[in-house]
Formats: sequence, structure tokens, C-alpha cells
Amino acid sequence: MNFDAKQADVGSVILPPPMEQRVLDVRGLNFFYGKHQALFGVDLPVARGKITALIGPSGCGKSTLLRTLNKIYDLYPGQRAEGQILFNGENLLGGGEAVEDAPPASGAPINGDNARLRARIGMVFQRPTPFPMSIYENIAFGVRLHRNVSRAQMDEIVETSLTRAALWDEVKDKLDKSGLSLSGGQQQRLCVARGIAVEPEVLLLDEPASALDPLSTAKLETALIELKQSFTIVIVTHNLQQAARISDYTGFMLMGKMVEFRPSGEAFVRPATAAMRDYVTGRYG
Amino acid sequence: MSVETAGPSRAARQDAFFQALCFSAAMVLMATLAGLLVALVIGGWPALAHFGPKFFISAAWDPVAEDYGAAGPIVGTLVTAGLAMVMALPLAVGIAVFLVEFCPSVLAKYVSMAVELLAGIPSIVYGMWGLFVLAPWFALHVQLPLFYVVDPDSFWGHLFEGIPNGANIFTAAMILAIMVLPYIATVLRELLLSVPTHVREAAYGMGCTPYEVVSKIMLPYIRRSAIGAVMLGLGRALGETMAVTFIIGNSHEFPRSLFASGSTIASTIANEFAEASSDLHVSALLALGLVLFVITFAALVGARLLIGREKA
Repeated sequence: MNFDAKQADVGSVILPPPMEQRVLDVRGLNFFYGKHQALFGVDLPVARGKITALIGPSGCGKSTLLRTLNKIYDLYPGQRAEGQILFNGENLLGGGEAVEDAPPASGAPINGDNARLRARIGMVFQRPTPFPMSIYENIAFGVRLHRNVSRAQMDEIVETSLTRAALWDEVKDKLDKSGLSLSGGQQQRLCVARGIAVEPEVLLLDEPASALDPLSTAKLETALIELKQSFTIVIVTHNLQQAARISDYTGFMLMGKMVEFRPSGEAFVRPATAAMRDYVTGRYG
Repeated sequence: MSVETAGPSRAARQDAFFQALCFSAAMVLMATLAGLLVALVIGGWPALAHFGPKFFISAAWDPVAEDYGAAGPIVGTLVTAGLAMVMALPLAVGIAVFLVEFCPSVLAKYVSMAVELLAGIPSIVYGMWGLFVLAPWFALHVQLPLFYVVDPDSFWGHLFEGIPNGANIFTAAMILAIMVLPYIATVLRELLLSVPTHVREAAYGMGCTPYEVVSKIMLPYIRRSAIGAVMLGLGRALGETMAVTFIIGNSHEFPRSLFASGSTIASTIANEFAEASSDLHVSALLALGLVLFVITFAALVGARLLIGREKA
């Protein structure tokens, strides 16, 4: 445990993607659960159309960081964030004032509307969370929240989403069955399909494979790599191989701080900080 | 040697004894239930045999002429309980949703406490309040104005027909609704709290508004168990005696309007048991008890079937 304290003092190495590519740009984020501070001045630049992985030992704050990006923490009165979370150049934590040196704006502003924000930044959780309705309805439900579409269009959206989540072949004959009747791996891919059906710009995944067997995990990863074509993905994972396999950028966190943020290829081959080197070689965690 | 053999055999004996104990506890319950049913059937048989099916259809209840028909109390029971559920359920859902989803946690504690307190008030207190407070108020501020405003020959006129004294089927249902409200609300709140956090977060994460999360995700999620909560309330409303006896007006007429005095099975039994002199009268009351038993049982079985169908 002394080891932690020592490592936390090590300076951080951040090699971010270029400014104009950043769909999300977190700057100096502090996060509090009541009086307990969980994040300390965290920076996280997220490049459009790439997969960004967040790794680090349990309790390092990677899930907390992910949960600030769509402001899901807002559901809980005691939790609050300070700093800047720029989404298309708009500060989600601000009162609408302009931010210096911001990435370019794109799309309609959010203006503090959490429902609109979450339509554009979707989330898949650690445990599969199918809603208590049919497979078809699980996907149609989210689409209907934000758009009016005809039955034919909806059929098409459902098929496309399930196909992209690599689930269509397994469920096409039982779309009217309950989403809860699927296996864990299928449920999780259903959640991914549900998330992409509303066509968000960013998809957040919080350890989506931690409850899945290796085969389901492989299918999920294949789906994610395909999805990179159209979506920006931020994934929290405990699985370093997974992070190395699928991500373009990797952020390594320790004790509520971003210690290293670099393109994944370099980061895993030659970690720049002692802390990350120890973590990826299994000497820590 | 003795230690080695005594150990397992003592454990085995203990186990057998424990099993027998649990078995007999369950059997005592079964025996009580069966005994109750048998006693009601035997006791009610003379009346049932004497009047035949007419007992359920006829609305005559005349102890002097020894003519007993249970249609009035049966319908009174079903109507008051049904009305009470219709009044209580939306309120209960509202209370439960408010407490779980929208209420600041400081306030939630006190509102929950008030709801639970409501459940603890003895039914006779509700009855007295109904008779002395609710009934006069209802007569003066609802029945009389309606009496003057509504055309007595219209559909509404017939629905609101009755002596304006506030002691009628509708006010009885109101009292029942207040009495079952805390039961349903408390169970619904517990059920809503049991919806997993990640499902709730996932719904918000889709961009649902709080209304959409509650109505489209959380309520459907608990739908099946919620039937249990409703049945708990219905069971109580069907059998509630004291409060209803106070306020329903205790008329054996077949209830022809909402504002007519009536009776329920329970109120009839409570009112007449002490004075029942003839064997046939006593038997008729026991037969009424049997009917109530069957109605309550049928409600429970209905709920079970409903739940079973949802599972499939």
C-alpha cells in the first residue's frame, strides 16, 4: 500500500489526440461522492471515431470518470463534478459560457438537458440490463423516445442494430420473446444494440464483458471494432488484453488521477510511467 | 467409540425432530383451514339446503319471515371492495412513485412513517371518523348539491339516488380505500425499491425522462409482484367489518345506486350474530361466512393464475 502513495506522486504522461478530433474533452475534473473526493484534476481527451480504453486497478476512478461523461451521476443528490467536460466544445458542467481553446462545435447544443445528452452519449453497463419487454421492444423503446418512425423503418432499425451488435442471427426468429430470456452474453449485446439504435455519437461501456464468458466476450469485441466505423467508444475494462486488442487510445488511472494517456500501441509496448509499467506487467493490481 | 457413534446419530435425530416440527407447524395451519371450511359448510348447510340457489340470487333478508337471500350483502361486498381498490390504487401508485423517485430523502422518511401509521389505526377509529365526520360532510357537500343539480330520471340521477345522510356504499368504499391505501402503497414502494439500480440507470442512460423511467420501465418491471400488493389490499377490503358496519347504513336492500345504503357480508354477520335466534338465521349467517371465504379464496386464486400466466 505504500507502493500506491509513492506511485501517485509520479508525474503523468499525456499524449492527447489533436484538438479538432476531440468529441469529448475532459479538463481538470474533480469529482465528489459527498465529502469524499474520487477524481483529482483528471484530463481525458476522446477522439472521434476511435476506441478509448480506461484501465487501472479497482477503485482508481475509471468508472466514476465514465459516469460523468453522460452525467448519470446527476441521479444522486450527493454526487457532484467540478471542472470542464467539453462535448463538441460545449461545457456540460458550465452555464453556457464560452470555453477558451475548445474543440470545434458540432450538432445542437445540449443546454443542460440530460435526456438529450444521454440520447447522444449512450451507455452500456457492467451487468446486462435488458428492459422487461420483448427483444424487439427493447430496441424500439429507445428509438421511440427520440424519434417518430414508421413500423417499417422501425423493423429496419431493429435489424440493423442487432446485426451491428452481432446478435441478429441468434435472435431473428424470436424477436417477440422477452429480452430477459436471453443468455448473459446475448443480453449484453442486446444492450449494445439498444444503445446504438438511437444513433448516439459516443457509446460508453462500463466493463461490458466482465460478466461474460470468453466466447461472448470475443463476439462483443468484434462488434465493438465494427462499431468504431460509426461511433466513438469509451470503454472501461479490467482486461488489459482487451484494451490492447481493441483500443486506439488508452488512459491509465491510479487513485483518482490520470497517470498516462497515449495511443494504445505505444502505451502497452512501452509504458512511460513506472506505475503503468508495473500495472501492465502484473506487478500491481 | 461412543463419541464417534453418538455424534452423527444425534445430529440425525435432531434433524428428524426439526423436520417433524416444521412439518407439524405447516400441518396445524392446513388443519385449521380445513376445520374452518368444514365448520362453515356444516353450519351453513341448513340454510343453503333450504333456499337452494335462491340464497345467492334473492335479495330478501327478512328474519321475521325467516326468508334469507344473500344477493344484497354479496353485491355490497364486491362493489365496496372494488370501488375501494379503484380509488386506492392510483393514489397508492402515486405515493410509492413519489417516495421512491422524486421525494427528497429527508421528507421520504416522514411520509413513509405517516403511511405506515395510517395502517396502524384500528378499524373502529376509521368507522367512527366515517360516521361522525365523513358521512355528514359527504351528505352536506356532495349528496345534497348533486340531489339538486342532477336530473333524477337521468342515468346519473339513478346512480346518485339515495337518502342524503352520507351512510352509503360510496362512503363505505371511501373509508375502505383509506384503510387499504397504506398496505398497497407500502408494498408498492418496497417493490419499486427492489428494481435494480442498473436497470434504472440504464433507462436514464437511454435519455428517458423521469416520467418515462417510471411508467415504461419501473412499473412494468414490478407489474407481476404488484398484483400481490393489490390482492393484499383487496383481501382486506373484502373482509373489513367494523369500519364498514359503521358507515354503510346496514340495509339489506339490494343496492341500486352508489349513494344507497347497503350492507356487506361482514357487516351483516357482525350486526346480526348476537340477535340471531332461530337456527335458520344462524345457518344463513354461517352460509354468508362461507360465501365470503369463497370470494376471498377466489380472489387469491385469480391473482395466482394471473401471475402464472405472466411468467409463461
